[in-house]
Amino acid sequence: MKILTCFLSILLFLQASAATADPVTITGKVSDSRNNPLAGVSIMLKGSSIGATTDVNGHYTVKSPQSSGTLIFTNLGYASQEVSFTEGKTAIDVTMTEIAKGLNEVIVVGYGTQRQGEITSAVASVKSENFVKGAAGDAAQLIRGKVAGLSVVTTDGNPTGTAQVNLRGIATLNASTTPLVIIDGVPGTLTSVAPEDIESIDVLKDGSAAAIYGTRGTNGVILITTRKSKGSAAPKMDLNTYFTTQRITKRLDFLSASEYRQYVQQGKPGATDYGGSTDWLKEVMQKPLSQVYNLDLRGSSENTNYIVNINYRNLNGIMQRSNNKIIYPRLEVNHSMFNGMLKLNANINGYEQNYFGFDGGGFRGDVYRNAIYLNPTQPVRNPDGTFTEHTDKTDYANPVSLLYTSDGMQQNTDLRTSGTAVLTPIRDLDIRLLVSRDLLNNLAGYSETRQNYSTLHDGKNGYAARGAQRSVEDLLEATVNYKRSIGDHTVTGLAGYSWRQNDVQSFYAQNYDFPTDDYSYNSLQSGRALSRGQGVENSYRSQNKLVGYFFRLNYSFQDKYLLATSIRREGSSKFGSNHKYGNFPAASIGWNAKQESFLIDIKTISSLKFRAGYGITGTEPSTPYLSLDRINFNTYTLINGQWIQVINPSSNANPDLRWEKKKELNIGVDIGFMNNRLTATVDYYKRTTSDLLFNYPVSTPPYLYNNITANAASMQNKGVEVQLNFAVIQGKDLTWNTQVNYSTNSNKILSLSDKHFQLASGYFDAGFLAEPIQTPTSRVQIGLPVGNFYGFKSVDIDDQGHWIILGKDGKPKPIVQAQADDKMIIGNGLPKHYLSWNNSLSYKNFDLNITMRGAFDFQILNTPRIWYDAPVMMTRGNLLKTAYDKVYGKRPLADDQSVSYVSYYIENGSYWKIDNVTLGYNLRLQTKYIKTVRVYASASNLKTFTGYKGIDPEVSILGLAPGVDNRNRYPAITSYTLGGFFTF
Amino acid sequence: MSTIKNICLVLLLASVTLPGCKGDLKEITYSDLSAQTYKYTDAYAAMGIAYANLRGLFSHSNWYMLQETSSDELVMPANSSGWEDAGIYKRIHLHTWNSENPQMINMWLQLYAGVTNCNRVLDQLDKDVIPPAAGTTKEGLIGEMKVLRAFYYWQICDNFGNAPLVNSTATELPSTAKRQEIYDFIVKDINDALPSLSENTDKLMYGRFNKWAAKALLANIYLNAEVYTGQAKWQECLAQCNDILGSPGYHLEGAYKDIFKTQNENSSEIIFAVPFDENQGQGFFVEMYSWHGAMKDKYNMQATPWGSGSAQGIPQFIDTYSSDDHRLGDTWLMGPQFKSDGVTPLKGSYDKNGQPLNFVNHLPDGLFTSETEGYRMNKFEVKTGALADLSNDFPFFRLAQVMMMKAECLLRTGHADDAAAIVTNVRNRAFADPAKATVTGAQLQGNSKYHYGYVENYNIVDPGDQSAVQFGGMLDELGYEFPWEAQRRRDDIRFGVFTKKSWLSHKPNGDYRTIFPIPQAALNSNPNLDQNDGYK
Repeated sequence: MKILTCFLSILLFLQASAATADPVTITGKVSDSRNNPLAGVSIMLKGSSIGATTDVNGHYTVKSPQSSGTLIFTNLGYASQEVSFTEGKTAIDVTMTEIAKGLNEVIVVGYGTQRQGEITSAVASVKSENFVKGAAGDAAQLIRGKVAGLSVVTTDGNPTGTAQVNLRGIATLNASTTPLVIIDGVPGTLTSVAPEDIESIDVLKDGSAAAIYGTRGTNGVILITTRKSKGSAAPKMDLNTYFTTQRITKRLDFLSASEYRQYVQQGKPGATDYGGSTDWLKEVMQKPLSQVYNLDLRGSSENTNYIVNINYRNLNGIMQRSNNKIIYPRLEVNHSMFNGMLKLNANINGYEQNYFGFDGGGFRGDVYRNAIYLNPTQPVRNPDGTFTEHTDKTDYANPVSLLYTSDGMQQNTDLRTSGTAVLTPIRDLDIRLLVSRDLLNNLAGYSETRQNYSTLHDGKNGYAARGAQRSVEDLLEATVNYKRSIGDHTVTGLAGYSWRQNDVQSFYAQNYDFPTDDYSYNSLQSGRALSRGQGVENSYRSQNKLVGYFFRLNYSFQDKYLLATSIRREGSSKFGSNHKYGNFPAASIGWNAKQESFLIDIKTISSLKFRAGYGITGTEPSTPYLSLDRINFNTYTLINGQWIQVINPSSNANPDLRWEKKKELNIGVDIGFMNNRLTATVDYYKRTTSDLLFNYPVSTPPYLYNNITANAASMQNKGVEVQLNFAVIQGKDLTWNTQVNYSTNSNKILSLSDKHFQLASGYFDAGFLAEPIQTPTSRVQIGLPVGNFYGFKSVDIDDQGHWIILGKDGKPKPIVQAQADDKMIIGNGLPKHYLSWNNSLSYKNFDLNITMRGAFDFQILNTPRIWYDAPVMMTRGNLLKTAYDKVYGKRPLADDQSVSYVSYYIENGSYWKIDNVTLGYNLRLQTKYIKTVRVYASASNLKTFTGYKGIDPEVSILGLAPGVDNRNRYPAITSYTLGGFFTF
Repeated sequence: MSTIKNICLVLLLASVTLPGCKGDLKEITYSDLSAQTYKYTDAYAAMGIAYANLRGLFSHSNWYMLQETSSDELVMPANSSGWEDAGIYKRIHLHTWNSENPQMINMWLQLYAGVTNCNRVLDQLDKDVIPPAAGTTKEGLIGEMKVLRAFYYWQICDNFGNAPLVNSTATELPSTAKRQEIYDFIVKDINDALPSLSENTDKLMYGRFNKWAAKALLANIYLNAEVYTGQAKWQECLAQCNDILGSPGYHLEGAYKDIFKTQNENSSEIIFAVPFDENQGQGFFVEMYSWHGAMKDKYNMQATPWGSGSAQGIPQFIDTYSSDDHRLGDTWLMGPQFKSDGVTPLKGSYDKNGQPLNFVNHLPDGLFTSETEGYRMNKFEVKTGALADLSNDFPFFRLAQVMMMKAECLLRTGHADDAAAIVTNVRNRAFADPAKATVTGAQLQGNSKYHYGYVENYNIVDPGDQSAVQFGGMLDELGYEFPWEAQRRRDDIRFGVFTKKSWLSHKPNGDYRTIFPIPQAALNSNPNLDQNDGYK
């Protein structure tokens, strides 16, 4: 078949050649509809390989061996034109018309790509030129505020931290609401690739788009495409580098040493002058400098192309010792064989990471917490050079000592290898096989000297820990894709098989009572605690599998009526033996109304499409083995003078564990005006999650434990998303593009029971405030949204300075008489509205990007104020300057008013942020070595407008207790970046 | 059509021939064991969990402190360290607890976990899944497990009154059984089991139910039968006490302190203990919530007690002691405190920051105190270098307690002088002067020395009910002997004090408070349960 085609082409070519006459030279100018010259337009002589491109002034010259023929003018974003020439007509000027912008844009969807015009579900695509500029810690931060309905929140400035991502509200009770992340077809995380190595990010928002992923599609899918080598070109190198410094967004206003001393003089209970003058926060913070370098080298020949990308990040945070060093190497090679019949791709990437981490992980929040509330008159060190400590005080440690009497390292090595083979035996039939392995190794070490709190407070006499983990995720996917057009009908079919296995092995040990500090964590055997039966030894291995079969059929009639259907049947090893498999179907339709005769001539409306889709996605539990009746030997009893290990059931087994399912309806419209200078996308969705997996309260007796992982509740999220793009100014020198994204979501718990698990109350509590309060923060209740704060409603203060709260009868009562059932809903921590406004301006060689975003209509539980706006805490340490302010305009809180969770500390969280401002200058050089240079300056989290009194109103939006501003959080930061981008 | 065939063929090839990629979704376990495939070989390892479960009762927010701080003996006030834990302890003292106080569900879960573990082990013994240990019989082990289950049900009956009675491994949601039903069930189960139980008092039976421990349990149930059922069982209690006293294995310790020392296992006075170990049998850490953090340096402890400590004696209770009674100092930590060198004073950390730590026996009220107010726990030895968890075993039933039960039964059945002789016998080791150890029947029958009354700002401002406590002298004797041993709530109820008298910040708040409410969380997860009267 193929050979026949080739033969025919050659024959035709020969025939054409036979008709030769004298050569001619055709010249002319190509311009756009506004008569601006178009550079880089490609011109081909039809039926030959002869071609040319226009120069910066739009001029071109084509030498034709024949005296007559046809020239084909093509330029991305414009309709191609064919113009014939003859001997007498060799000066040809062409005006090219822009095709409606965006319709041909390629969108990455599950297991393939589609043109924007073919899309029938809610999908958003962000290309690298539209990413948030400036420093980015992970892939999500590149698109914060860019996709309506995708909330990206950075709750702290920890250099190892990642953004919190939530799509269309909280749709699951399980802890993870992070969307599935797929990088070049292989599952990963938002930090699996360097942000600077990303070409585009596509977000599958609704069920009909995500259902092809079956499992894990519930929270949406983020498809990351790395930078590719395109076409045939000489090797090219890009260097992208930037330098960042940061400062704390806002310092909480605590008493200075001299202000504190005034309270000592007043004889406030517990106020003590230790004689020093210490700014504790200053003692543990630094002015960090971070550096990022991204170097990529690309080249290609006729059949082979490659890209080598090296990314090095040396990140430092505002807290001393907080850092993150990563190298991301990536090598991708594509090779085409047998006339394009077989395409091979190999991709080796991953990262090597090294950072200071406390025991078991990241940077410890208690460094910051202690730094804000340690007594400011306490010196950092004693005269003998040791750190000052008052270990008899609960929850009170010298933060400088925490930092410098410990040492820790976390080393991660992630090796991601994948290979793809695509066989195209006949035109439009692709048979594709993808095999990948993601191997993540972690090695950790941590130690504390005998000057550390652990020895002074807990008598450890030196402490060290070691841990290692190896987690392997293997994936095999085989798909067959076929596309066929017959007349007005276009059909695309996809069938696939997916096999995924996850295997985790880990080891962890801690020991204490060391003879010396000199070993750090490098000689665990030298401690004596383990040999006494103290300390911890732990090793674990688990494995789970997912197997899926999927099919998809897309049908299009004249590009006008579109239909997409898919189904995935997927099985997970984590479920009960009779409940392994689930089916996840989806269907969506689209109507390109613009193609209809009654609209085709209406110039103002340049595009109009209606979409509707429905899809079911699933969720499996985060841990395996929950359906098994497991036992362990984790406790002891005394028998005959010996402590023997006893057999202890591990949990309540649930052999009926099955899939959690989310059904989602999405209705959307895309409309463009003025040749798509103004486009709008509006989506409405309703997602209902049922059989929600959760660790439900269950009755004891008859169950041994009072919770069981089961499927019971259902929950609904409804919302609207609006995305507006407007090319306000499209001048020769000046352009201004603006984008507004808005989303709103309302969440409701529909039910918390099924026939096995009846929550008669219709609620359970979530979140927790630690000692000295020890109470849940939030309540999940039928008929109400997730995120409700549940506590005492303070309404007044009595003459002695004690809280007066509302009783359940609605009457005020002293807090000393408070009962648990006096608690009520006192706020909600989930923003109801998100709005962002992104602007991109360019003037000649300058460009300016400003992104602003905000969240509205929600409350924040200000836990630092609960703890430090309470005079009673003067006995422990420092207080906020406002601690003795009048409450309810009456008087300060009493010195003996215990720390309480009351509505006084619930604050309005609404905010509007100037999130990022970047000014760039682009220079096109004619030099031999450097071709283009771009330099820029950028500021992130620049200014926040809010009534919230804490550090930053951008607090957690995940889980069942969102909106709690954790007093331990690594502080939020404002960062300033200088960067350069060089093409060689 | 052929295209589709090709597709299917490729898919089939891909899924079948690729190595390792099996579609089998059976779970493969590595570090987890499945009960279905595990082969039981050691009966003690299988039964042991039902005993290990007892240790969880002893935390500050569980059964142990509920027994003490709801009574007129102990209180856990908030204090100047800022700590309050949302007022959950204050409400126990004030008798204003409700079904949402976390101690209720904590105690409920711990007691019913014991019941559920017993039910499973009994089922496994019955079905021969668990082979009997060497030298034991299936009947003996079943009897022992039934008595242990009865122990848990006794505490359920005592604390919650009406509650589910589940005796199998079925998972149907149970409904509430009346207190009388639970009482009848446990009395029958213990009596049925007695013949099969070991009479040995050796190491093998320590911390387990032999015949004598089972009889001590039964005696305790009979002692409180009038509270549980309205029908007194003094004679039945007496009979069980006499059986135990007639057995050769138990003797009073010469020194009171020795019953509570770190290495108190196998003490000849202990009939039934909950064994603890600082590493392997954790769960007893009373010093952590009673002591001030500075106390670390008195015993060179590895752990630092929490904050300024909280669990402390109610001054009115302490005031009932005779100053000659060694048990006052042996039970209560008082006065100035020093480092382990005995001379360097310990210092306060909060409102008395830097001032000498001197525990005094006066409290402004039961709600909020200074860090040095209130006598603390001194009963259980805290060894030098102690960890947070102590190795002292908790003496649940001991010979002195059996003697005092016998004395009380005699007293209540008209033999006051015989009772006084037994009480004197118990008192003897606590007094240097034997004359002072002697009590009379009249004293036992007389009113309590406890100055009941509601306190504000260190003084009784409202005496409340001042009627004489019947057998108040006996109640006082129980108070001297058994503080910190989780008995006071039962004794206060049995002597009619619990819901009638005022002490510290507590005022009577309803007779229904002799039992606790069914925890809200239990009601929430099981609609078949009924809330106890008064808490609805």
